[in-house]
Amino acid sequence: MVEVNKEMKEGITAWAKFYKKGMGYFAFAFHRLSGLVILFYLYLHYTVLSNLLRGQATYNAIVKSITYGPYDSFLVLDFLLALVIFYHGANGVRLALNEFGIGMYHHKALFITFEIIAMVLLGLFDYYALQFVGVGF
Amino acid sequence: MFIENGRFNSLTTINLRTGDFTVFQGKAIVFAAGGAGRLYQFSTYAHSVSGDGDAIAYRAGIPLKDMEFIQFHPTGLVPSGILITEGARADGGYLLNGEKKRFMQAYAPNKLEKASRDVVSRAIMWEIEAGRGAKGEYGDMEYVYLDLRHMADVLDERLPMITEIAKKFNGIDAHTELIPVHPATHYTMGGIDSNVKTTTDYSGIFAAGENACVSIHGANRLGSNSTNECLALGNVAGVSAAKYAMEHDIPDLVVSNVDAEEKRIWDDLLKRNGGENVAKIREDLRNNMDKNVGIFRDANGLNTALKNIKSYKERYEKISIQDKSSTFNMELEWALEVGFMLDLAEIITVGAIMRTESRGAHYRKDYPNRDDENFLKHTIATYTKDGPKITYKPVVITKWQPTVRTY
Amino acid sequence: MADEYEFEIKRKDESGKVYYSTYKVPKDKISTVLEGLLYIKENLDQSLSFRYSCRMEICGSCGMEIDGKPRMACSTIVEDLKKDHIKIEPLKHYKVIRDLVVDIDPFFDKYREVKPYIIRDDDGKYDKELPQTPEQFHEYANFAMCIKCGLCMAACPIEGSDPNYLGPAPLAAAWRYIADNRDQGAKYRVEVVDGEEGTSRCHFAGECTEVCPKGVDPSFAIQKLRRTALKIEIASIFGGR
Repeated sequence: MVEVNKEMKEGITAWAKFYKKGMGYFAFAFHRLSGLVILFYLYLHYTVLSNLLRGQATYNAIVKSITYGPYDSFLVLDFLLALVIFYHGANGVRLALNEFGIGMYHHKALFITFEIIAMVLLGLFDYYALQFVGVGF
Repeated sequence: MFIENGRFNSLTTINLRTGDFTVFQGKAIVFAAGGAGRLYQFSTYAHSVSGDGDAIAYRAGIPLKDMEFIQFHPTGLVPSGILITEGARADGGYLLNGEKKRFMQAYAPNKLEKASRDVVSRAIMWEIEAGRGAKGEYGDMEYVYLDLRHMADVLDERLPMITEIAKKFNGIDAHTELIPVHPATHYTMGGIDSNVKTTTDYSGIFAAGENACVSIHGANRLGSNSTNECLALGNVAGVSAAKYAMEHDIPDLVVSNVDAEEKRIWDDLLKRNGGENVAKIREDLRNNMDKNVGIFRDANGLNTALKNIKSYKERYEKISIQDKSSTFNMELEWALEVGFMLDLAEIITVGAIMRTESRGAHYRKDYPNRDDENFLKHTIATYTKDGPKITYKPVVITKWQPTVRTY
Repeated sequence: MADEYEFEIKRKDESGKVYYSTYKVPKDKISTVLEGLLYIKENLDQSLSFRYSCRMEICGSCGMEIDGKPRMACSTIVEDLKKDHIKIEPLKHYKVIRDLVVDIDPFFDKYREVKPYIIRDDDGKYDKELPQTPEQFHEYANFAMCIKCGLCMAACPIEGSDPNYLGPAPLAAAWRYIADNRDQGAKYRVEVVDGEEGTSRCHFAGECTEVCPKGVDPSFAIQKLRRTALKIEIASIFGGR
């Protein structure tokens, strides 16, 4: 195989440097970043869910405290999570198409289109979510 | 390179990456190191083509043939020298002088712009000398224009590289604007004296491509024939060299030669400390060759050129190589190249002085006609300590008889 | 408005010391970055080392990182950068030998791994020419424009994290040969192209296409390669090979 250039390896952070790069690179970097965030959220979610092992009452109390009670500031993170998930999902659809050769020539246009759709859906989600929380419109 | 008993013995090299002196021993060697166009300031060649293969063979004792025939391609982009291919003229491009008028009808009434390269180059230079060249946008350089505007609709299909080059390097849109061009050195008809079997008079030494001079092109190469030569004779050289290697053993290395060369570099060249800048000598040499040994030559100019070359050789003895590193020392590479260039420049100039006629790419203002009686022969330059010794060799004529050139 | 450019160049000498040198180059003497570097080497500092040859963007020697992006020094017009202070560094993702000269041997080794030549079942012994229509030529024509300059490898983020990844240029070359109607060697290339370090590592950042000086579009080639490799792999499961 090939000798690895250990000296010039930029390291695991190479993908994050999207300064002065094209749109595709920006999409890729945020896809990776959002992927990491979703992964982190997943573990957090498991931690919260694992409270089911402590019985239904405990679990209900915890969920109530996050939704209505003293810890409801977590809901803000939910909005950020929605943003990240919608971005990741839209870009993911685009990637799934492009990486099999469909729509290759219009990948930038596809990216923008899907992201706009995603942001519109996010807007709808935010609207209904805020209503749920009690913020009137 | 060293020859012993009429046979290839060794090739000394310096590894650019590490600075190590490495000697190659072998049974056979194929010279395919290209021409010598970068002896001139304005050239279509890459920077690396400084005639190293020719000079190395010359210094080892192999004669060079017909070195004074340097082909100038009429359309080199100004100011970089990048080649604007002949296809532009072949597909119907026009050449316009500074007054934006076509001028080729006065020099080649039948073929106009599609005439042979040397005819068109001379025509452009005559226009410039008559004061009808364009000037101003690129410093002091005078040039003429290549007009492709009338072909704008087929340009993208037929000449995509030209539109790309004009746009990228000059910011010119070939569909609507004129392209500034000037003749530039493009091919070296001369080279190592070899034959159509790619062998030389020395055992184990083969030559192919622009480095060789069989000569297939004579005094003037036609378009695309260099590619044919490389493909056909390259194959022949490879096969012949391989066959030779299979039938012979490696000769013993003559160590004294190798030691002498090592001393020449490390104890002489690198230790010179006269303060001269290698790059300045190279620039002066190039300007000298462009001015005096260019498209138009005459006795005065050539003799001045020879005097200048001798003075550059003296300056070369007094260079200082500032870069002391052994890793990727490009200044040492430049110094070696300038040494080769000075030798070749002398050969070209002396050959041009002694050929008192005009033939193909070699044009003398004081002898504008072709002289088949006295000069239908090849110039052979052999190395001596005091400069090239010029002898002549008859031309082999088989099927086509020499006739008058008209365009 | 000054009439001199300021070139700030990242240097590295024999002992491994890395430092920056600044040079002032007059504006009217140079047009491209390569001409600027040559001016510096001829007049200001003879110890500056860099690769160059053709000066017309066809040999692939002079790749370097100019103003934050990998570019060819010979075709980058300094005026187009719209700055007076130009920062020049060696290409990323390669080991630096000296100053702006990098070690491109690993790149060439990877390039060779995809078998970049026509492979035929009849082993090259055929009795008439292999015909190719203009349409068939255009299928792979722009991928054949690769000058092996290595800029795409410097731009690829995967290449930065893991130098074992084949990279855009070798994969584009693999596609160039697979798409060529004269070639019959796709089955020999699938193993390396679809392997651990092949197309599956690409995440379509598209930066390789952005920096390629000849418009080769490696990211497109890699996506096409994926489809083809998948077809071949599936076919081999069902018996055909």
